[in-house]
Amino acid sequence: MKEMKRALKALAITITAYLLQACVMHYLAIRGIVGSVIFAALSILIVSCGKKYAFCASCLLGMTMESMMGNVKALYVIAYPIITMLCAQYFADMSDRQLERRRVIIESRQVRISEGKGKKHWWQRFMLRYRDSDLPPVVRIPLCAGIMDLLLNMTLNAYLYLIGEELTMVQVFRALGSTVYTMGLAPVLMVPFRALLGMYRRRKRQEGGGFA
Amino acid sequence: MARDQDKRFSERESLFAPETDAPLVQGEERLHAWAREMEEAAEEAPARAAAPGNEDADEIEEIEEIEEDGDAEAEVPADRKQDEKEKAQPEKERETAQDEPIARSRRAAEEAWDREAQKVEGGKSRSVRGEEKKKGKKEKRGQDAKAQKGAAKKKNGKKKKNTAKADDRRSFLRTMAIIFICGALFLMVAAMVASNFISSPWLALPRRLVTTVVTPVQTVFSKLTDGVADYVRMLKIRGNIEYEYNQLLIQLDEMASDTAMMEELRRENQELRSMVQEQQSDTSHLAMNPIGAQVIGTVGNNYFSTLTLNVGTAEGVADYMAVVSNGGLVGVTYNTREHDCNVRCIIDSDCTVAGLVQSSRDQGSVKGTLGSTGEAICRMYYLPDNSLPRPGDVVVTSGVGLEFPKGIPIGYIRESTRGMEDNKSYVVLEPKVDFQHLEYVTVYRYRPSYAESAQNRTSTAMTITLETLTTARPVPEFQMGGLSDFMVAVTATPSATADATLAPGESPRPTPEKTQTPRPGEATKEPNLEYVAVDLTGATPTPSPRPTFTPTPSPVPTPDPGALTVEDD
Repeated sequence: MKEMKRALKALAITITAYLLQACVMHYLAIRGIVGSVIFAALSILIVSCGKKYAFCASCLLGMTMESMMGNVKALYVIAYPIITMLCAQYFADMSDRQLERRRVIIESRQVRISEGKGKKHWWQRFMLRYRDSDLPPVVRIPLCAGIMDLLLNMTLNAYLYLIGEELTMVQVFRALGSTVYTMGLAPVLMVPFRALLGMYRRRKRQEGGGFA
Repeated sequence: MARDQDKRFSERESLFAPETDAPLVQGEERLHAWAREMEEAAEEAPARAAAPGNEDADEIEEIEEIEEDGDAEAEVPADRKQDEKEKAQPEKERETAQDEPIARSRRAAEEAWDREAQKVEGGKSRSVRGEEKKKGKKEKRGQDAKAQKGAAKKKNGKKKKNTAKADDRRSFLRTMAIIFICGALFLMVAAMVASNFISSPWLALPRRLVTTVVTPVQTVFSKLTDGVADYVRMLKIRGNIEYEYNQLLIQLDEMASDTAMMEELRRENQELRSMVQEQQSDTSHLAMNPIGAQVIGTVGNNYFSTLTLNVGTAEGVADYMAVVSNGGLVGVTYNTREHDCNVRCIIDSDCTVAGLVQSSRDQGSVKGTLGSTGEAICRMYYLPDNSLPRPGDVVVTSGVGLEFPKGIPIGYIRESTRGMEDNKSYVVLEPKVDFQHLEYVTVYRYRPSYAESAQNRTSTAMTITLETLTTARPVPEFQMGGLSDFMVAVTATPSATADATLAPGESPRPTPEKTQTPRPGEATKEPNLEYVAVDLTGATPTPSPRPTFTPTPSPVPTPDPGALTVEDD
């Protein structure tokens, strides 16, 4: 039953994201650049619900976008799931097995460092590969949304280039602007969506705050 | 990183050597005992959760479900782990601060554990050893769990057996559902992709399904968002109303100012046009060599009335020139400088102009009264006693005295009644010009050639000129017969045509025709006439003829009337 509720909530988030993207975002365009609510929602699902939910949502969103607003044949229906799964590999929560493997790797590296055989650089502290725990969701969600949007924009620019259009800095800046917009949109949507999924309620209860 | 290592060590010490520096073998036994306890607790948890009245049942079930989910399970546990780490960190620090010797001894025990383990396991790393231990633990846990399960089954009976079966069935169904959903979605995606290249109603089914479901929802939502957007736009417009009102007020002020300026320009334009039209219509003004000027200063008080114009000697203006406006005399220039000059108005008490009643041709002297009575009017003195001007008669300049052209209207006679001032009679004139609203005037740069100039008025030399002055107004001409009989000398008649090449500022001067007076000794060039010189040196003078006296007849005697006889018819 809980699983069903969660699935329904994820479905509601998916539909809401599509409706927001289709009906609201054109009102919120900044200099003609529209952010992607869909990628923000997908990133939230990736971080909060896992890969399977994200895959289902991306398929649904891809099909809906392809059916209702498709301008390039089969672009959305292919690109959305692929991009989502690519980013989910990196930004989704690691399983215990992965975490334990990371810990083993890091400890062995520590041993090597203590033996003077290796050295840990400062940037390794910020890379997921070199961490034995996940980054906080508030960091992962915008990053994931931005990278997903950037990937889609790169795909679209590549498509434009392949059909003979000349790529200029304008398109590059539009892609970057869209990415930044989406990255800004993700934390805004993160609060209600994650609240709908019950993330904040559960944590408060766990902390003994007496959430009613 | 060192802090993380300490944390892990603290976790391990809670597992391995919680209280004292016990032997390592005992610590391992304690670990197995703890694992067993945990397994038992895990076995009993569902039963507790299923029990009615348990408040944490939902939460426990939820946590279990999350943990069973392969990929998403780390979200909440990770957070919890982080919280536990955060909680454990200060405890560890507190512990290290307070029980430094104990911690040191624990570390020594840990190192001893590592050394023993290396001896036993051939020097494996701690992490690998940990993994192997975990595997062993899991195996042991499985065995223990089976044993515990069997014991529990034996203890609890059929109820627990059914619960475990339900859990297995649920997990199986969930897995199947996930596979089914993902597979269906994948098939739909594939069908949708294929429908772009293959036209088949079955392949188009997903697209049709999506559009059928989404279109009404999107229509409703779009209407809602459009309504909200319109409302927000309306609010925005309403919010801007005050700003726009202020802006419109500013624009209104600017437009009012512009309108006033345009009205000013219109009047100025009208005034200048009338001046130009007047000058063009009356060609006689061209002979006056007029120049337009702007009044740039006005000094008006109870005694004097003077103006300042923006023209001066550079424009050909000199002192004692007539200044007119709207066809009426304004005053006389004085204090002429290079680019400006002053004008003494005719209403000023110091200004006196020779005037002429246009109808009766009676001459007099017009003087302002501003200094004496304070009224902006004029008085005309020295009219003949038998002159009776009528109200409304026009008084014009007579051209006598100042270098004024003749015929410039000065004003109108107000009334016929004369006044007396210092035994001088006068009539009151109303000036034609409105001195309160003077903005643009015309200066007549007229300079008569042979008239008495203002500079030479004090000269005693008498110059008799019979030259006709150019008048601004038509003057009736009187044909006086036999006038030439009284002329002392015939003077040159000034030519009526002005010089075409006049310099600016120079007034046309009538040039007299040259008289050809033959000098003595010069022969005339006329062919018919010949001058013959008579030599009188050798000639004898002839006596002048003497008058011959002839006897006049004797007078006839006048008959006496008494002696006359009357003859009968």
